[in-house]
Amino acid sequence: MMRRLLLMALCLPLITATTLFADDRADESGPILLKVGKVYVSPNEIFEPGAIMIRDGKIDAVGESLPAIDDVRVIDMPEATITAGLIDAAATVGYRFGFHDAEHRSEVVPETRALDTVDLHDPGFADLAAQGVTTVYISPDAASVIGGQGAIVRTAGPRAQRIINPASSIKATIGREPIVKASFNRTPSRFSGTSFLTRRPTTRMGLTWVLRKAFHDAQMVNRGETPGTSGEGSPSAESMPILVDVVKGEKPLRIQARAQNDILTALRVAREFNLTFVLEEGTEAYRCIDELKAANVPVIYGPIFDYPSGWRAQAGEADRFRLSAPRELLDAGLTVALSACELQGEGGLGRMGAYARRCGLTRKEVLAAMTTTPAQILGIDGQAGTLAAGRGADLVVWSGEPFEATSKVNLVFAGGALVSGRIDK
Amino acid sequence: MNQRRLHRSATMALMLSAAIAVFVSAAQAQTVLLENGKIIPVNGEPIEKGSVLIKNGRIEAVGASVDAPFDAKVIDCEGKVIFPGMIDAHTWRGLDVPNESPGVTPFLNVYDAIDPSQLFFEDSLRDGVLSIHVSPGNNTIIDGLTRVVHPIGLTPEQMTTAPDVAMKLSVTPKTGYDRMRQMAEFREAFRKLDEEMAQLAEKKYEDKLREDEKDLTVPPEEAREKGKELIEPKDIPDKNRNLLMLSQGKLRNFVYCGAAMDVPAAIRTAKQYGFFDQSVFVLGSETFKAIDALKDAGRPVVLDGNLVHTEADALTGEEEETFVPKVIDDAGLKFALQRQWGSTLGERYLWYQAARCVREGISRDHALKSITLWPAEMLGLGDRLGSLEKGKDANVLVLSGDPLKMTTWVELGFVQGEKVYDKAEDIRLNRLFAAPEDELGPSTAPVSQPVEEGHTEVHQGEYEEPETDQ
Repeated sequence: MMRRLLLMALCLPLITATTLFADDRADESGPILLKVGKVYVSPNEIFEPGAIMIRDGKIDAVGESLPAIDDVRVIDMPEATITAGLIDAAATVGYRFGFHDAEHRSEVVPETRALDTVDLHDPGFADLAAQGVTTVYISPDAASVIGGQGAIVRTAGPRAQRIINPASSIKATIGREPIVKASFNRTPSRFSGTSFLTRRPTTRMGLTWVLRKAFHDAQMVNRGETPGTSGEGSPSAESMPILVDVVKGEKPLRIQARAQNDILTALRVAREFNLTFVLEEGTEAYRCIDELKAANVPVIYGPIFDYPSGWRAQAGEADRFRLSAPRELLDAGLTVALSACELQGEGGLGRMGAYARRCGLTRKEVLAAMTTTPAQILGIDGQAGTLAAGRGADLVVWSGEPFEATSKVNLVFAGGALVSGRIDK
Repeated sequence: MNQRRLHRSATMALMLSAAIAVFVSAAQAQTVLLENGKIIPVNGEPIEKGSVLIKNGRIEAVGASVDAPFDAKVIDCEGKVIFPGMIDAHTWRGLDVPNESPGVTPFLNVYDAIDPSQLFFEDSLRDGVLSIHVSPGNNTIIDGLTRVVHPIGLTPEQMTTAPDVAMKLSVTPKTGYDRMRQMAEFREAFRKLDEEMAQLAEKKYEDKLREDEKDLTVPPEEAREKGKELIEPKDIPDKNRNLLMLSQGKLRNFVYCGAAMDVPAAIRTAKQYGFFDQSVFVLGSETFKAIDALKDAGRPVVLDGNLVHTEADALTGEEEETFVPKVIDDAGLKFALQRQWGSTLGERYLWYQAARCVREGISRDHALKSITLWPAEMLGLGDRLGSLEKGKDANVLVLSGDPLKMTTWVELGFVQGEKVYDKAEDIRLNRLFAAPEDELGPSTAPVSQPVEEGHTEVHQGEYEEPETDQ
């Protein structure tokens, strides 16, 4: 008995180490040859049938058929399809500890990082991985006018490979959320009205002023001048280096806006300060296609819905949704990625992809909008989005064609490790 | 006075039935031939290219080649799929309020609460659900009678496919009740029924003795026994009529079991009070744990719209997911799927729920039956609905493709032979696909005009002109 206990005590750190650093199924990832009905190397490069060799966590080779060298485990799935791991460029995941995770110290907090409030072992990540989403941009909470820097992470896999970019683009929000949502802890009292104690801005005018002031000051600093510090919305000294980087075009900016007027505001402000940005959500982007196209703004569109549910039903913002929006944006020649945003249940992004097909996108367009396009928008197209040989294996094995109601995700590899599904011995 | 009232109501009834007759005859006048489509009849093998003839509101013929009368309106279904109207086996939607506040109200009828103007019906039509079993909600003990309706019509009469289909019951406690009280209420309801029926029998027997001028001093037991046969249907008070039919096993019933522990109670209660042979169990997602009891019972079941049951381990916090229909299907039970409301991306469609079943390993045949033929059978309408067969109601869909494909839309819908849905004329849906020009508002930056020019003057003087690095 004693001996067994001792043995267990000795083994325990070992077990913990393996589970922590390599996830529990990583030890299955000896060389594996996956033979399937179809491989989408990228949306436009298809092997049918196809095969992928995974060795040491990397894609060793991709082709129509690959030779099985003797030490390789061959897994034959003639019905299955392989695609690159999906990328959700605007996910809200891992916020485990707070009601919402915006820094309320100021309206302009680009110095904060979403990664610092995220628990990488939150079950939400495992759920995403099981749905085939291997990479996400963790979108900072929309409660600030200029929020933090989002993080690009893998949803699963060896921990050493989880974080791809700890401080990616900063996120600004134009719309109702910074006005209403942010003030939950300092809501103006019903009796005293607004005062200097309550949170600003209180209108879209104030919101845009805060935004302008931030970039205006950053431009001054960039020119070597000292901005005035009057006004509550003045950006703090800590935020200035980041804002200057944005103004210089060295730090990417994304703006979340849903309603037509908010999107037009985003475009106007960007034009004034010569900024480039990526539009997030863009529910009514189809109403400003000409402007978006002229400014060459990529759109991370989502979610697609015909029935506003949850807070969307109550928000009253962007109730002029269209099922045809992604189709119209693509037809206009815009760069469009699709995001599931908060609709992560029941297949999540994959389900969104199936629904996008229902709304007029082809399978290849959907695949591009969930792999190569977001990779390009996030600046990680050298690492994710396609299945090139030599890359870390982030891939999904679907039971049939991807984005079908009758297909499911059978296996998911992230960072070279099998993170969802089981391979029968 | 009484006489006059009777007279008036008789006239009303006549007028009403005349109105219905007009509606029904209008509906049945069309003879339609749907030709060259792929037919998925559900009850048999698909026909790759065939026709369906609709006449007098019914399906007249189904086959690879069908002789059509000269006056038939021919609709070419080349490349399309012809499929029976889907059936929602159980929902409280369409009612103004799902449940009456007292728990035992077997005398109620959903007929009085169906609101034809609800968007729910329009959505159902758009999504191909052509028969809806409208039932009181689950927050009840013994609730009223249900009704199968089609999602078209201005009044509950016009919408009715079949009236008074079943009785709704729940063994899961109503709000504010615990399980002991819930079951006590069941016992009390049936005890009271027995008592009142005994009193009625006694009275009937006494009346007869009085009529025959016989001695009235008979022991009550004897009177109750002998009076039983004297009870005529008209003697039964309205409030007891439905419950009596239920206890005599003459009324179909949908019994809600929200938790696994409610399943044995439901089976026991149904058997004890004599309605088990007509029972359909409406299951909460956790009830798959009582699969052995359900299997023994062998009764058909209606599944929760949330097809996946998720449970977190109390100690480790690890989540385990169970796909409930697979457990039910593996047990060999006939099941019907419900739609999941509050979702936008698919679970609101019955066919999507069926597609999820196929995804998780249930046969396509069973998945299709769970949204058509099986719910029809559960509702006692297996001879009228649920498949494309000669003689059945012409509740037919023309789909743009396979019913379980994500890209498929309902293009045409026929209810009892009348075309009631045409996607091309679906204003609400079309609005979601093409924004009219005038709604978009004038573009502030037409592509032909360069946007860079002139934008700064709007904000002149607000702050310094931003310098652009060259």
